[in-house]
Amino acid sequence: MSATQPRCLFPLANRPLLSYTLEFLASCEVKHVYVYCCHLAGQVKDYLSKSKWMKESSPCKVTPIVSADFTSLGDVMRDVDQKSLFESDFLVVPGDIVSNVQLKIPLEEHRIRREKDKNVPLMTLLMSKSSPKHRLRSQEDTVVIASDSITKRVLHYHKGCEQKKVMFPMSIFENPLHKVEIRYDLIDSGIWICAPQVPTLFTDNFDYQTQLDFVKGILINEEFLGNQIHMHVIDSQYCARVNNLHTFDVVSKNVVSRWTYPFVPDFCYDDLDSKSEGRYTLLRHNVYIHQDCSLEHDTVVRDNCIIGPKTRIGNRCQITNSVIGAGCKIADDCCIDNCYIWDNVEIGNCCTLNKSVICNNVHMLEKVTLEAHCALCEKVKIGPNCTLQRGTTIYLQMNNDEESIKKSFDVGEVGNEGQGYVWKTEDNDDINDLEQAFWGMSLQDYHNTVSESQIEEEESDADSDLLSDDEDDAENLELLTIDDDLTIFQREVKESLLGGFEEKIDCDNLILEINSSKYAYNMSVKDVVQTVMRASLEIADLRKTSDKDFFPCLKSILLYLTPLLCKYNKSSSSQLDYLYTLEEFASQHEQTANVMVKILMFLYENDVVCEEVILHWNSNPKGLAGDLFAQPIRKKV
Amino acid sequence: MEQFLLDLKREKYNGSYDLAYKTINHLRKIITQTRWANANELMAIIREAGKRMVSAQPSEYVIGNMVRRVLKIIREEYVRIQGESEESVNKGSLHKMVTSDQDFQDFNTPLKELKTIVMEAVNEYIDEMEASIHNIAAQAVEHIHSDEVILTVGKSRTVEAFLKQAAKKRKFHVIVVEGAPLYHGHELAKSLASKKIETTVVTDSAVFAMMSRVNKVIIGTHSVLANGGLKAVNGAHMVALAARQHAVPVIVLGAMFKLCLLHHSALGGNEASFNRLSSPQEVMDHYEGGTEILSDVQIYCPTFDYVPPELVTLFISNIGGNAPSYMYRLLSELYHPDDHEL
Repeated sequence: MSATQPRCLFPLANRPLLSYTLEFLASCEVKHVYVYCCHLAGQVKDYLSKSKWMKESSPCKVTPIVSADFTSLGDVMRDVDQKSLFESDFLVVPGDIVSNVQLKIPLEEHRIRREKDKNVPLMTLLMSKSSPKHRLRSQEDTVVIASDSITKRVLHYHKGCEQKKVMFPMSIFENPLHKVEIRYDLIDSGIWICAPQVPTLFTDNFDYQTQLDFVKGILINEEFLGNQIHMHVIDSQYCARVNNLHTFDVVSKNVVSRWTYPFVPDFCYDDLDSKSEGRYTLLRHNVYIHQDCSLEHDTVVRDNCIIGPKTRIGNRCQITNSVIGAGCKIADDCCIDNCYIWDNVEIGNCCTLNKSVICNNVHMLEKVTLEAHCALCEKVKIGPNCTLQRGTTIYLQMNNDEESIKKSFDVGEVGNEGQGYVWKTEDNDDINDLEQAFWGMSLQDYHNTVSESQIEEEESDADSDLLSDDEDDAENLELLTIDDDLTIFQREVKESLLGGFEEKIDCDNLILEINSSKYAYNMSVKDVVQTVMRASLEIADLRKTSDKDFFPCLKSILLYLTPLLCKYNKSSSSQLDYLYTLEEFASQHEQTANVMVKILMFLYENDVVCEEVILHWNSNPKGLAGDLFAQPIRKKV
Repeated sequence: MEQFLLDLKREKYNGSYDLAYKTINHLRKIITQTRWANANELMAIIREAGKRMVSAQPSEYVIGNMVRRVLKIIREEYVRIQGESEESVNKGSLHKMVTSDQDFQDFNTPLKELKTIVMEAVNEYIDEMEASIHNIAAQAVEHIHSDEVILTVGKSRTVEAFLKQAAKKRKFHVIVVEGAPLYHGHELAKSLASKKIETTVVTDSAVFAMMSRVNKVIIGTHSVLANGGLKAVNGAHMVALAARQHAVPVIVLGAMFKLCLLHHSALGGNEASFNRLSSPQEVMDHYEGGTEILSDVQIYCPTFDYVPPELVTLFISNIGGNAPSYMYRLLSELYHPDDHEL
């Protein structure tokens, strides 16, 4: 379905999803929205330019940024960094969100945290509460979060539940200051409040694809980058994402039963677009009927229905729990239950539809029966006199040339005059699987099969989760033993530092290089710190001509590498690691030991190592080369 | 204008007095800031703006009232400048309507002083509005006697001022019905208790049981319909019915700007424009309400009740007490018949 229409323009209760997101942002008094359009960007841009958001009267400024190259959130954030769009804190919101949350409180919390501590709190994740049997839950969105119940700091973030077990790192329980709270009753809303450093971090770590990568990356590197993630739990307001057919169904129902108030069908949206002109009238039992539609004799519209503008419904129809779009023609004696019928659909006499989705411009001839969980994609034609089995999906490829369209349709499936192919998964799963995949039980399949070119609309992504998951697996297979990795890593770092120093490459690039090899070899922060220090000392050792000019030589190297060293010295333990490495090296090389004080002084003056750490190191001699201890200490004093 | 419409849509106002005040201030701005040659043009401008404001928040009748009121002021002032008596504009009675053979005013003559005079009249009206709550409260001692038991529902600023005014001279007991699910009654009870008024909070379901002890029911209202019926806070109908059963008088407090031209029957079951169905969140948390078991349950959270006029004993406004059956008469004085349809 998303092949021809981007997901953010799917009609949810007869309004494009994106308009809910923008209304939500406008209601939170957001002043400027950048909309990143990727998949079928043209359509999103067209929609925006026609909507009220681009008019002068719009409550907030909306700027669409179009590029088909962005395939993940990571790409978008890197672009944000390149253009340096934000100088202060900003919000990241996926384009498929339906919410009436007021962001004032979480924003205020975030601001206070940032004021207290300049750089440490990086972002706030918004979570909505949901009981374990909640209908908004889908398997892929399941998260387990360990957080500090007082500071609301996220300590561990686990997504998905392929295994029955969740592993927590011991370290989070060891800190006596943490009051750890493990929660399973949350859904990640996809709304983040970000500090301006966030895009930079995405640039530094170019392998981050998704929000999950980012959160995990930050949490793992917490001690050395010193960044923290907090969360805010949305308590009594509504917030949900539409990222598969199951949630589409649930959120539609919620909109109809007014959980999203004030964003309900009879809200005055003020669209100038002629298609949705006029208003819906709310009748009893949550039935919304547009002023401009016609229902013939004896047609019954029961609970929770929406009937769109210019729709005509014939005699003796029964409609329950369904949303019917604009400009539809439904003939006599139809029975429609739990269906989502989009715009300009034609349905012939005596059709029976159950729990199905029918996209724009579908044509159904007489006596068609859809059993539960069917989906008909755009411009499909069905009938007459046929029955679609439970969980069938019919599609029509739009881009192929004429010949392939004329290729024989399976008459048995789609009827004598039908046009469309039955979707089959590659490995011929049984129907149950496909149906579940569609309707949200196990959504992995859905993404794999249906959405090869899933929409990547603004600031959101769904399937790149999958891509990156695959990559992770590949990496796991390649994993060698750690020792081997360490030596390779050390060699690589040394080489890049040496090369960098000789060719005077910008230090930022070196940082990037080291970071990438850090991930490639799965190194811990400690390893990185030690390796960097050792490598720079070794380089100095290599380049010296005589004993005397060792220190000047080392000094020039260290001076050059200062930004790099500063990059990794965020916590005191990393600083301590610098010193221990230095000490270890000094114990093996006499010249180093001789100039130890000078080195220490230099490090101190350039803010690589702070005074407390030096004193701490001095008073706690648990180093690696015991016999040489006395010497540096004495010299230092 | 856009900002004002946006605020209306987002319900950024604090009660109907605040809304009325903001609306008329906005209209005043329109009168001063737009260009118009004569009264007719001005009225067209006001009418146009009024239509947009009303459609932004159709369940708030006060907006329409303010627009009609301003139109009426313009008509009156125009005629006054022309040197005719106000009577000719008002078409006072049926007799006059039939017998008068005067030409219809066309309001097309450009008048220099119209703007200043209209502004003066509007300002005067705003002053009147500002004073309305005090005018109503001033009548309190006539209605509340010593040692009476008064019952009220939810929270109304007018009722609060009324009771506090009475408490300066009299000692009486107030029973506050809490008004689930928003529980505004709790706030009122707190505020009354802080003024040393003897206050009891009861649940909505206890109203009938308490009614036998009550001497008077005093409630506020969101708006008063043309037939004298009320659009009042959810639960008011039940209270009024219980009062009727026990023959307790029901007194409704509301300033004149709450009086509107709508008849309940004209709404024809159109829930959206009469009532306001807000999120079921207040009734049941989405944490529970979104579960599979409850997916087929419909949960409603209406904000208002319609109270039919026969259940209301007395309507007290800033100009004094009236019976609900007299409302139509007050309406014809407040608004011009040509403005009924904006």
